[in-house]
Amino acid sequence: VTLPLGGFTVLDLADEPLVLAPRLLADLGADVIRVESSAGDWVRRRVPFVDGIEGLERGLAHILYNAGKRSLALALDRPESWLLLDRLVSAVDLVIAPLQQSGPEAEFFRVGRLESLAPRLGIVDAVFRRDSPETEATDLIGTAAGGLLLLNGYEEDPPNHPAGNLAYKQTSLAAALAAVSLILERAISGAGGRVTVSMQEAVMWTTIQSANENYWYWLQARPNRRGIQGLGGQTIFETRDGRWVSFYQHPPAWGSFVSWVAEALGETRFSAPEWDDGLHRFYNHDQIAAVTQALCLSLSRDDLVAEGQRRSILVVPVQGAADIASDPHLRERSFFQEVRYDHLGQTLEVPRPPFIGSAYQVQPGRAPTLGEHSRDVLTTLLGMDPAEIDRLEAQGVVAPPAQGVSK
Amino acid sequence: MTPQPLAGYRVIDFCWMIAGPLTTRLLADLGAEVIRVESQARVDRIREVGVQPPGVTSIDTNGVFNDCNVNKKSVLLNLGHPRGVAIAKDLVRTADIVTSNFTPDRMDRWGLGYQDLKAVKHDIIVASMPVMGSEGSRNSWRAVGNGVVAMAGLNAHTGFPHRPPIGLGTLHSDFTSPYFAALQVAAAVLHRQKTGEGQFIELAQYEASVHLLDTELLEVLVNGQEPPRRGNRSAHHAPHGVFPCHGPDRWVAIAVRSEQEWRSLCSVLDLQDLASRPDLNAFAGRQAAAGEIETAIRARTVTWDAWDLSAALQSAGVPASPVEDVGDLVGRDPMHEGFLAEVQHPAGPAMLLQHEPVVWNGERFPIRPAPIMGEHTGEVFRQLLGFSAEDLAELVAEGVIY
Repeated sequence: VTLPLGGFTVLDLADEPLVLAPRLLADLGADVIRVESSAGDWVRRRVPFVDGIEGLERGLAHILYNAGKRSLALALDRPESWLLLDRLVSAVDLVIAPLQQSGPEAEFFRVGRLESLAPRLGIVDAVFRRDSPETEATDLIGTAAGGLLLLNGYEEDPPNHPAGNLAYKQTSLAAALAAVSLILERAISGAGGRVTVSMQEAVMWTTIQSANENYWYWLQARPNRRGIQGLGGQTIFETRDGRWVSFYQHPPAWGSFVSWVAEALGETRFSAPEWDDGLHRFYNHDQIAAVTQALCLSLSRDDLVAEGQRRSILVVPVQGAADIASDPHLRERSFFQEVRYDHLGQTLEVPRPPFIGSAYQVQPGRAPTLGEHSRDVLTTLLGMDPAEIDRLEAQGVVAPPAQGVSK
Repeated sequence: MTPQPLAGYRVIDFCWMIAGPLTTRLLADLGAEVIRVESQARVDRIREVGVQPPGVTSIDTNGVFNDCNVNKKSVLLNLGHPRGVAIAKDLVRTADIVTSNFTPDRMDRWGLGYQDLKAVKHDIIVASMPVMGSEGSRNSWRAVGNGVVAMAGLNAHTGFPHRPPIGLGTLHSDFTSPYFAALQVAAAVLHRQKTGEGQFIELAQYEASVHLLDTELLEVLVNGQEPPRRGNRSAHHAPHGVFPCHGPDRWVAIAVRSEQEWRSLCSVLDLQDLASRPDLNAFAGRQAAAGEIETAIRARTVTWDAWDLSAALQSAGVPASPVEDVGDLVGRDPMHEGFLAEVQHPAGPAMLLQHEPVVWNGERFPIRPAPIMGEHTGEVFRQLLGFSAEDLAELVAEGVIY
């Protein structure tokens, strides 16, 4: 079965903040051509590596974020390479820009230039802060600018950078939806267009639900980091085996909690009628937290979660990557799938894309070796003959497929 | 006017809370006609909780609900009544997409599962967003956003190694799952355009949130090693941290990616003694001396205004930002003009609603306020189902429109 983006070609010039976006399009069947510098870019170079051995084909970030793409390796410090890319934009449907653009990239993506070169092209562009000269951003900086960083950590500590590169993720998610939107629009109007994502705004999308609080009650309540305190009081508790759970007092489950602590701990204070009032519980959440902590310390994490869920209470394990990798629920859902990497001599287990559809099955792809598809891309998309490609290779414009890839 | 690539598509939206409604908001922004199916018998909790404007207590005016539901319509329909379910199917017959985010069997128990709806409309696209997914031994587990991110590893991998895992300060997955889901729905629309085929799509919020991790999961799957919490340090950049500035709880975030940025940082903060040390030129040296470097930086940043320092560092080419709070974002930060729209709510108060974080050919998507509960009941049932005023009155009397 053809995947929904089958037949669409994407030129991927994304840097780290956007590199997930074209990966998501590749999952859906797009032919994503990752344009890489001949020396290999940052996504290939950053730690960690397969078996801890450094190498351009061994980066876990490369394996994660470039899965299912093809690789075109060019000497991006050479004007000839950018001329090739100018020719390629007329042969593809979408181009995805990096967040940080300087030199030839900035000129390549200058507003209006690609639009006149290829009027039907969809362009997904990105900035750190909208209408600002400030451009230097990493994930930490993005979470700081979008209000997310300040919400994590303990009051007595500096704000904590959340795991996961969440600013990059949010920027990429908005970019991926923009890309499919551009394709949908072109099917209707025939026109290309440019959608520009702001990293700061993308992060604000995850935090600004508090905006009206500040609008209506100007700065009276400054949302701040609360450590293990969460929605409506403490939500993270230690269990008897020294592990942790997320325990949310969902109002509809209050009666079930009252029964549980009465049975398990002999704690009956919550049977008094005033505790039926949500506001009373809110103002006395310290008492609820203390009893919840006692309950959690009476059972191991997994027993607590099983019993709590049986009672319709919103208690789940705080899981690390090792817990997730061994989660029987995910295993039963075939969430982990094997991808063969011949050049590494290994079969790697990776998570599949996070959805199941009845019309088509989406599977994780293999990340390409550097320059693996350079010749093929130039032949099929630009109609180049082998001699012309040989000449470009000899001139050092096009990198030949990676040599010395460890088998 | 921005393009509206989903104009002409109709979504019957059974979603509630945040993750589901934000998904259909993304579709509405793209031009789809999104009709929320609501009932007094099952009020969307997000209408009831959250911050209300001063002096107002209404299920129509809280800020979060409004952010999640702009550009939609709302009809009242009691699905606990057999005629309510029949009318819901009539609505689906006119539609292209159906969305829900209940526990997996809820729609089936109403008789509105995928097979039921496919029988009504052969090419319908049905998108479901349960927390755990319909298959698997933990499919009945319940959680809201903070539990989803806890299961997905974000808490366990955030924070300092000597501290307990940290809950993110937001219901983070509620704001990320919608993009995964809307992307799949938009792709399903493309698939239907090409093949004429509808489908059932399931996006388990837990699985989507696991994809928010960086390489932590692959480090376990491939290398068999779970990485430790790193606090604010990085495996790639040094220095990399959050440093105190002048004023209560004011901070600046700084990340240094290269020797050039290191020299620029030292120049701005007048740390020439560190800049002159050859052992700190490369990342490995700076990583090894992270504690010493961070102490020296803190001693300088504490006298700076966070905004002034960030601007000075950005001018010198060093990644930096004040650690902004919501008050900064709404009231002080000048750099996102147009992201927040002041909208006059029909029920009284003016409010700030967020646009999407994109501009299309330089323009924002238009914003219409979220619907008052049941605002479009008469309009939708008259126009789509041909109901007369008498029909509507009868349905109200029977408790079907409720």
